[in-house]
Amino acid sequence: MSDRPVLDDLEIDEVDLHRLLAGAPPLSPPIGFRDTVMASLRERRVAWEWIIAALFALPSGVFLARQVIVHGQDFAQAVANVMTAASSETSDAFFFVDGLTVIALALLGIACAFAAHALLISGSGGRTVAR
Amino acid sequence: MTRRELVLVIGALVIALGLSAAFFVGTVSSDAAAQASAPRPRIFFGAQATLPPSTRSIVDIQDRVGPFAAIVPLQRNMTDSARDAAGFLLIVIITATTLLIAHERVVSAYRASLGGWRTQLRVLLTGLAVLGLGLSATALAWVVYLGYVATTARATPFGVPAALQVGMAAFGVIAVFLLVVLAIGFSATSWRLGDTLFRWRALSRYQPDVPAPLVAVIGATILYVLWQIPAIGAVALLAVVAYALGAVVTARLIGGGTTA
Repeated sequence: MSDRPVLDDLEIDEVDLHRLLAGAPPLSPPIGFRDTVMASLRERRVAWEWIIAALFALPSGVFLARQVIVHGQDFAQAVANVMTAASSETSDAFFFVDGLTVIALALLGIACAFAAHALLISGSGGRTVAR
Repeated sequence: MTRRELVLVIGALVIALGLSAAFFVGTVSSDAAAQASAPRPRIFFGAQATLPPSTRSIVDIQDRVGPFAAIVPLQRNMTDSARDAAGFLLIVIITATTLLIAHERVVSAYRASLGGWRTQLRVLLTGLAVLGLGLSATALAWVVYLGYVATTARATPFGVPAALQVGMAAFGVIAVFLLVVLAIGFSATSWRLGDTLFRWRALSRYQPDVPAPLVAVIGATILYVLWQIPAIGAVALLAVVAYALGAVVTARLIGGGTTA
């Protein structure tokens, strides 16, 4: 039983709980406890950024993967033509690209930017506390 | 998740669903197996000035995509205009990436350009001076280097081409470094421009709610649109390059910024 006095302003149904809690021996928090608590307080929630990154990356990634699988020879041919034009004396050049591929590439880049930001934010919280 | 984050996620979901539908329609319309003639390539580079025309009509595609028939014309327009928007998308991605990767440098350049018109003018003139200095030094370096190659390296076998290739490679490395500096300065410039825009009375009430990256992207959009104007575009490009260089140099050398 604890030697701490029972508080006068407790309600009758609070006395048992008070006795139970007061009976626990005082313990100092473990090393790193404060840092852990502060880290959780400082941690910025980045779940929404991950969701947006996934929403943007998934359709564009699938679309680009299909483009490479189905129309891969177009890309290979274009690269080969670029190499040929770079070493030839021709002065004519014509370029065409599917607009949806451009959108998919941009969307993938934006998704990667969101993901990188989420990673950096979640990583920087720990570094700040440990400093 | 806060209300604002929830709105962002829902907005992203709507965009993702819309673009997924457009991707699906685009995939169906480019299905090579069902086309009678040779399909149009997804990407092409060469001397040939004409491409095989798109063999599918809008009605034909609408028959194949079922419930997505309504967005087929929209997808066609999107495909055509996205090709032209590649430059703008690149600017947006460069701005966002620089803000993310080199955030401290961008903040430093941004703070270096804080102030009234005198500060703005000083930053711009500093950038012009640095630009002139760089151009002058580069031209003189090439003069000296070409003179060295023509007099010293010509006596050795493969000396001239090898020396020229080394010189061009070194110049390429310097150009990449300059591009990184310009990207940092451009992000800071876009941010400043976006901030200036949100100081107007009509927009000032939204300023606290708009995140800094979005402000920078809005500024970059304005600059990109400005560059598209035929007569003003070249002057605007020169001014932005000078201002961007000036902001970075002011922050780095003169100490007008902070290392936050």
